[in-house]
Amino acid sequence: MTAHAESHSAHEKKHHGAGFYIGIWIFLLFCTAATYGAAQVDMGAWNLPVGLAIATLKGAVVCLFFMHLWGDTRANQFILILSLLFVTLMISMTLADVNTRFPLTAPPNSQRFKVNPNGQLE
Amino acid sequence: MQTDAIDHGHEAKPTHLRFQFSDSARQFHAAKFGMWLFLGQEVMFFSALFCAYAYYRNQFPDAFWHASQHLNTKFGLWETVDLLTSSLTVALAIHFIRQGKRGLTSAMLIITILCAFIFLGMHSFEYYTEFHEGLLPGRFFHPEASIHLPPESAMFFTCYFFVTVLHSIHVIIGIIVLAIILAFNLRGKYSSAYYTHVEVGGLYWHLVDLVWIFLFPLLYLIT
Repeated sequence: MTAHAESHSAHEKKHHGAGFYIGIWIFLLFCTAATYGAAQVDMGAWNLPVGLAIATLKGAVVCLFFMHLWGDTRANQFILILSLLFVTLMISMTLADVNTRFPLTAPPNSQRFKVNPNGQLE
Repeated sequence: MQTDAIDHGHEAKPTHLRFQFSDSARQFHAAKFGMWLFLGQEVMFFSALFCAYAYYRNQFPDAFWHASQHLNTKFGLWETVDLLTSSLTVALAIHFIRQGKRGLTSAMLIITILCAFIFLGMHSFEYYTEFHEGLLPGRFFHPEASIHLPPESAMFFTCYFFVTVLHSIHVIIGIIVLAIILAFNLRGKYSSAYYTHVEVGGLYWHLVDLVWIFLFPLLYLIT
């Protein structure tokens, strides 16, 4: 492999301009404002999913463009996807577990289980 | 490839190339792959605290809402903007070093480090306020008389302090990493043909930003 070919293959194929990164940054700032704005509106149970959805979108944009995962090797993309899979598994299984346990295993004053004045579970 | 690696005298190898790699591209990809493995581990490492947060918020939704009202949302918002800006400048540093513009790369790294210090400064101020109001984790949770919080709010501050302190430790490590890269760059170590440290250090810095993107709505914006 010649030195010339070497220096070229060391980079990714396509290079974005500086303007591209600034565009991504403006988009991220816009999303931040959207998160803040969405939190001021009372959507009941939807506030958390909406906030997390915007955060996930921002995170995806950071990973794909700032961290160059778009068009990166499959190995690097696979690592992130796999780690996120394990995070989802851990949090969902934990919540599924603790919410289906015998109520007395919940911490004192837990709002998950309502107890009536007679001391019985509702 | 095999013959290339053995044929030493044939052509001069770049000085940055370690003996175990046959060419720069492989060395670069190996370094990046290693960093991604580390970042994958970091994501799972942080997820333990996110899991604790999910559990306690699920048990005490009202206490979490009350406690969150005592965080300074304006500060959280500006810290987010600050970290996003630092992410942009680190991405630009990689962009400029790919073109061999060493001066601009240094400038971008300096701005990134400044943003990191601004973040730490703002967060220290928040900790200072919370310390004075007695909004501390676990058994140290003794809020001032004027603050009426249910006792379960202590769990919010436990999650808040553990996860933000761990994040701040990452910011401090990021500052050290970026400062070393900046020092190397000022000495002219990097060029368009070799910028592995900048790329890999940048990836680490983006992770710091990535964690904060999720922390901001989860801690400051509970409705």
